[in-house]
Amino acid sequence: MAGWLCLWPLDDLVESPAYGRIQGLIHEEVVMKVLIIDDAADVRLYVSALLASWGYETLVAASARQGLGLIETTQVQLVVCDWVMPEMSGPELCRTVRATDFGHYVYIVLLTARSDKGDLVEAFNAGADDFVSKPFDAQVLRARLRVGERILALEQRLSEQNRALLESQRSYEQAYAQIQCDLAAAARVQRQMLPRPNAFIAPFRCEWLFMPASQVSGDSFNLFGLTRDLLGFYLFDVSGHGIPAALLSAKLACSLVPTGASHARAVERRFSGPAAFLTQLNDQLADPDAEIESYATVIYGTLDKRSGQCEIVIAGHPRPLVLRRGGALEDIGPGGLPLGMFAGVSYEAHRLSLNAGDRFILYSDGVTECRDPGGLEFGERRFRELLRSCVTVDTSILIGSLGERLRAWRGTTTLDDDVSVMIIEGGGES
Amino acid sequence: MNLAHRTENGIDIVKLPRQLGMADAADARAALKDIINGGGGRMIIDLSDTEIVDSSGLAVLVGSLQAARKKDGDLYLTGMGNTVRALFELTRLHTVFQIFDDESAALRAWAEA
Repeated sequence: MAGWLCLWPLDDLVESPAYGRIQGLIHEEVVMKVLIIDDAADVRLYVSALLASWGYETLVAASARQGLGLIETTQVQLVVCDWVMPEMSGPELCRTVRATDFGHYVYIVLLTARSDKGDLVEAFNAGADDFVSKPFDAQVLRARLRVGERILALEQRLSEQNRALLESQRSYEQAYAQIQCDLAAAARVQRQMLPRPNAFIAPFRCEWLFMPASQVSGDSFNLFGLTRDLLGFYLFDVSGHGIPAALLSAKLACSLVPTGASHARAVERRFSGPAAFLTQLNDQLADPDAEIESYATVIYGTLDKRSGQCEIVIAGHPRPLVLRRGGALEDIGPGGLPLGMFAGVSYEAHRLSLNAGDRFILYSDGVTECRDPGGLEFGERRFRELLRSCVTVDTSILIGSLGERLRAWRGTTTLDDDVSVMIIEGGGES
Repeated sequence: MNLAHRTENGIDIVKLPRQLGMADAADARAALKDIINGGGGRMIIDLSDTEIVDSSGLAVLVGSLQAARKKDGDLYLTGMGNTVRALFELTRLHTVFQIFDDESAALRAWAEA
């Protein structure tokens, strides 16, 4: 709008100390662009010359519409805009800018002859950032533009920080997703190492319960063929939890199956019974010169499919139980020290006759030490009572109700410790 | 980990905290190792405040026993509560450690050793 006055004479322009710095600024740093929107050509020219003398790069627009187009195409962030213009006024331009996403903030200084309180409120509500009253003092305009620059610099720093935060969050999320994916794969591998519905153990059968505390577990158990008539079995709990325990668990599971187990003659040469085997393995695992970092509690044994005779070795593990067909509950044991703790210790085997309908129950301490929300352990007594109450119940149903009972006892889906139970049931003629 | 530690007649006496589990196993292991390395390997561990020991905690105690015995010393345990005692019996470790009711009994045993 024409008719305004500038208090800085035009002659001063060329003599202003800033003028001489313009060339240097252009080459040394990014020059701030300012868009001047005014329908009066003389104002555009004058403000543009003034701003150029302060080191700004100027763009001019004769209307709000043209100005909007320039904001869009040039990414200009600092705008000096007249209030009263035909078609679209300064406050209307402000509203349009605020409603549009330019990908950056646009700082708008309105030039106006109005100084009424209501006008100021209207302009701020429309989204103006600042005002300069006409006729204006050039130094005031300059100071206001510096404020705008500071705010834009802050805004830019914030958005850069935000971007960096978002990027790092994204990379953490990716890493987390990868870890979850790897853990799920590891958990699948671990599950593959548990007993499958096996024909080779007939007439015996095996049912089991496995509830790991985290995705991967330090517990493991399985059955394997040793000779045509002899089965091997193990259930163990590696000290600690999580990935280190899971890796040790995989290593131990391999060690517990004698090399060449599928080849009867090799086995006869190498496997002289579970007690000698475990004694040997303990000497391999326990380093007499090092202090232990990890160990495992183990039940390990053999079962003769023809006779139902078992040889069982216990290494620091909760004593397994036998639930006889008639309802008697017997303890096997006691055993020896955990595996991998002390070199030179030896193990002894316990013998057990597993007849048709008898159930040999191996479990980890995760069962009896499963805590309710108040911290009370499920305990041996409740475990034994549950087993006794299931004498006439099918083993798969027994396993199912034990799992349900423990989950109900725990009250949450997360466990403190891995829960493993393996039941081998005697078959054949009774 | 700051363990309550004092020395009496050349015996290192250490009191363990309420819980010796996986979360603090590495710290406890290092702290006990420092005490064993800095002393004569003759040691009493007081478990009267210790209510929870898990498998990692047990490994720390066994590791310390091994370190002490390597220095021709030993590690005596005292003040064992029922829960910890049950764990020692389950793992048969009560056959490996010397276990005493209280500190004075352990100190007497050291005096006679």
